[in-house]
Amino acid sequence: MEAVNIVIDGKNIKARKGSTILEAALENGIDIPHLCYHQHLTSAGVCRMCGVKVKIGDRWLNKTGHAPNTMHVSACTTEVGEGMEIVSDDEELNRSRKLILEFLLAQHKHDCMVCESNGVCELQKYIYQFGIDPKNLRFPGPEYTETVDESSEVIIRDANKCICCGRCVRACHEVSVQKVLNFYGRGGVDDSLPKIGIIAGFDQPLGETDCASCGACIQVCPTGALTEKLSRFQGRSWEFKKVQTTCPYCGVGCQLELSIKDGKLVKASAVEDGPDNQGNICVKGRFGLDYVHHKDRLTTPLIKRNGKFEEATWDQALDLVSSKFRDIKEKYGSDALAGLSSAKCSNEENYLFQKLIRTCFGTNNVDHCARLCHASTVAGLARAFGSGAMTNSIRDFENADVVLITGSNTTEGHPVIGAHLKHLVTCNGLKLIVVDPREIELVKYADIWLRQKNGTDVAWINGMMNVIINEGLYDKEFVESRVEDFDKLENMVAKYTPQKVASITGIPAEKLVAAARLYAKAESGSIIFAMGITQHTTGTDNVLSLANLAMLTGNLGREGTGVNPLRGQSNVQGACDMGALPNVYPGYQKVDDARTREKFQKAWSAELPSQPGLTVVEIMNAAGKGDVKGLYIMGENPMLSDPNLNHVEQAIKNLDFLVVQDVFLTETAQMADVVLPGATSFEKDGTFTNTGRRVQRFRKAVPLAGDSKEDWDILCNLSRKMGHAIDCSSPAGVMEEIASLTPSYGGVHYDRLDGDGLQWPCPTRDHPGTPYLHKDKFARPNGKGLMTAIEYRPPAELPDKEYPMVLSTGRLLQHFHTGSLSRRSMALDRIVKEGYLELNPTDAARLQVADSGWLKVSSRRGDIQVKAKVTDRVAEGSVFLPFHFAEAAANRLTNDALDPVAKIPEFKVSAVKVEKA
Amino acid sequence: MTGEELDSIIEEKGQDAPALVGILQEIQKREYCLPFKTLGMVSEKLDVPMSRLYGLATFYKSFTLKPVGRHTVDVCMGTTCYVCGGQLLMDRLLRDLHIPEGGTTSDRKFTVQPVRCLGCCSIAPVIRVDSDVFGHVTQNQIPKILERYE
Repeated sequence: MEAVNIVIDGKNIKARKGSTILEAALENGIDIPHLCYHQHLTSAGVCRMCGVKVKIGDRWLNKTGHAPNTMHVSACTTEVGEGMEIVSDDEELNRSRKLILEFLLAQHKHDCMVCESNGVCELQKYIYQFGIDPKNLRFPGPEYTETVDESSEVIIRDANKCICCGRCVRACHEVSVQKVLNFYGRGGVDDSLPKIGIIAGFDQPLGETDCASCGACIQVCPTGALTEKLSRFQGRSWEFKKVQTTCPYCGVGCQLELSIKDGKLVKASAVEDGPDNQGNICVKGRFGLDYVHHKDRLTTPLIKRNGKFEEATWDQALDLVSSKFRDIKEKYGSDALAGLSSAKCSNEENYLFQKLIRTCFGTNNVDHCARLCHASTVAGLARAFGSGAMTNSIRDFENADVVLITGSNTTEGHPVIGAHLKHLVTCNGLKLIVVDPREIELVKYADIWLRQKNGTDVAWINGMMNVIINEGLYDKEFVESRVEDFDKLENMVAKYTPQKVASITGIPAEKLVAAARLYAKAESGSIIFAMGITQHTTGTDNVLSLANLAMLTGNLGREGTGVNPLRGQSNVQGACDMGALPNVYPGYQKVDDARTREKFQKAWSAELPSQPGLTVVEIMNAAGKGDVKGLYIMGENPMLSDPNLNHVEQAIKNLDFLVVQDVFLTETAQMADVVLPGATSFEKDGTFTNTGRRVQRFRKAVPLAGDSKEDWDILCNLSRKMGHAIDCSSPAGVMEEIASLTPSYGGVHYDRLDGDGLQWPCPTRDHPGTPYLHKDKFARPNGKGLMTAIEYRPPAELPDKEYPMVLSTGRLLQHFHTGSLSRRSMALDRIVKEGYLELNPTDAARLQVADSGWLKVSSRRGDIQVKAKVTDRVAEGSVFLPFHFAEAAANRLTNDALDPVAKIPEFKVSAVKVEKA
Repeated sequence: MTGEELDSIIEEKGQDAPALVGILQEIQKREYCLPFKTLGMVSEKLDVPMSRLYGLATFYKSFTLKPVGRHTVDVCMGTTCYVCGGQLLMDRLLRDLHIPEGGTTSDRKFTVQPVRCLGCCSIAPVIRVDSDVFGHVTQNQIPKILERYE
């Protein structure tokens, strides 16, 4: 850190170069009063509370150069300079501050008795600190005439308490980049114009604007002008126990601060210095956690007798489960059993689960829903680079000049990363290339948008590489020194001229060329992708092609570069890392490698199977055929999440014995023979690994619901009953065992996880973690990246006469996965109640259907009814359906054709027929 | 205002941020206010948030959200004009046109509003109708001045 020497109130300080006086003071424990400043926002200097006197040599810093009287410099907008002498606390300054506070108070409705911000209000703090009597103001106050805006489902806006510091406006512009809030009436000079204030949209009720309900404005509001609606009157700031934890929803792993009162989760806010969210969270993280106390929670084990669930004790339930599984194992062999682990459970629980399946069941038939989202990423990146995870960090995009996003609707799937990208585009000049068949929100921020036909990704990536090689824009040094098989790639892509690519993908040749040049010429270019790339029968090919593109341009192994898959669930990265996969042990150590197997046999004192097991869809197929008889599902809901549901339903019905361990009676749990009530991440301790490979703690904040148990506890108890006891006293102890067996987690211990967590690989106790991979060499055995020449293959199912339209499925901002959590959140359910089918206006006109009209959508595998949403976000001939809603289950329609390598199904392309219902 | 009309204004004024005020001025001139619907189109076409348009509309005195008359009469209430009888001119205007301060006549011909200093104190008291400035105005001249406007 470059330092600048300054003096504040006689104290010598080494300030960070480039910081402001206020930041330097706060970083050194000097609290200069301030109201409009916030650490994650640009400084505006509007409240004038942080006024200080600054002297350089014998010159005072102000217009006259003489000793100031009232003309103070605002500390939040003045950068530190060598030799500055600063006075921040004297009678004169404090007299000015008092005057400002009195003016603010004159316009502020101080109903502190019932104000939600009582105790954390910054205005209240200074009024008290400066000893101002609200009953005895020198200036007359106005009548409080502004109506309180309660139109939003989650935010209450009371303009009478607004002090016009503008933090919410800046948060709305800079943090969430929704730009809904703004100042108005700033030109007001007489009564005919409105007085200054803050409006939403065109002075509309907040609920009628484009507000994303993220609550970034609540997070920064210094008073009670913006507060949470649903937690009103549920507790006062000093009554709360605060617990820091990791958000249970997507893979960003935002750090949350929970407010707990009497064992009840009341509200949540973002942790300002959370390593990857930096004070931002989305609508789900802030308002969607109340499912933990939902009345539908499972509170006792259930056993199905004569088609009906009956309550049971843990002993009864676990005895039944263990004896049934043992019977099946004895009668049909180990491979008649299988387990589905959970990307919603902790690393420790995933570790224990796969250990239980491998030791007690004696089979490698263990998998989880990563198979349905990023199996092709793990397979593809492991082949190309030797490691199947995001190469760089979540916050690393700020070091990139160009980001290429494809197959990721980032602002909805990973909202905090999406908002960060919007921020970088609008405030930092980041260039964005979006390649997506849908006109997603990020298209508005993109320099170039390529609209490819669904499932033609290999073609456009090859086309970009064709342009880059032909124009000599590739990184010759990188290719020569760090990559293998360049010539094969070069020969293959020569065929993919922009004109040929245009005929396959529908992307105009000149646009493809422009995108190729923009990405290739970037100093640091980063690639982001998600399920639009992976959920194809060519998923692995798509990923390998992106890896080719990054290697070709040398965009790897540095800050601001990389190939960055965004993982979907809070711990889907961790569940993979922990070996809840049929072919690998923890840390991607192969089950068919004899030496590895020996190591685990010794550590787990059990005989382990040598053949890789079955994947999710293969397990379902085997169940349908009767090869798999017993299935143990922990925290998954294949009855909504898996493709071709009608087939899944038959397969599950065909099982002899199904155990589901979950927090709600999901669509899958309803079909179970035994249901075991697990715990949410608010009721237990553990770790999640986010999409940026960061291992972070989540912490027990509220007591267990009823007679439910922590999932790790259930697993240990079951293993004991199964006759191969897995001992564990705490998640921390399990992590020690993981560290001892998993090289990339070797240095991960609970006592190291309290700050920013650790990014794997972290092999030893003193290793600081790895922000970006492949710095000097790749993780493959010979240290080189592998290029793979890949030809374009069309999707498994193309539209035809009978099923003429292309369906793709995906996520909404407000809901999550199969909705078993998010649809039980009052706020999220109120904001988006039901699913819909996005339909192009031209198709809508042809079908003579209006917005919200009922449609019947059918494919070769099933049909559903759903309301139409007419929008040109989708191209003509394409439709889009979110998959969260059981009553309009997208996966009744989807195709279970698999990628040959990664066995991931093709969720993103199915041929469907749409009719008026 | 139709989308085509707006397109032609945007074409003339330009797409970038500095052109925005000019576009709003043109809308104000043609529509005698900034209608919500038209601003909705501006927001969409130029990708400017509605909240910013509202901020601009309430920053400049020359923009109004409610329709004004075809001609705007500004009565200067700066110190000099006030001392020289600005208030009397205002009273006379309101009495003759039967409207309150800031109001618009029922035939949508005139809107009368007070303004701060117009910057021509040497010829106080001053009124301004659209862009025509009248100095040394007396009450009795008011009807004659108004007659000049259609």
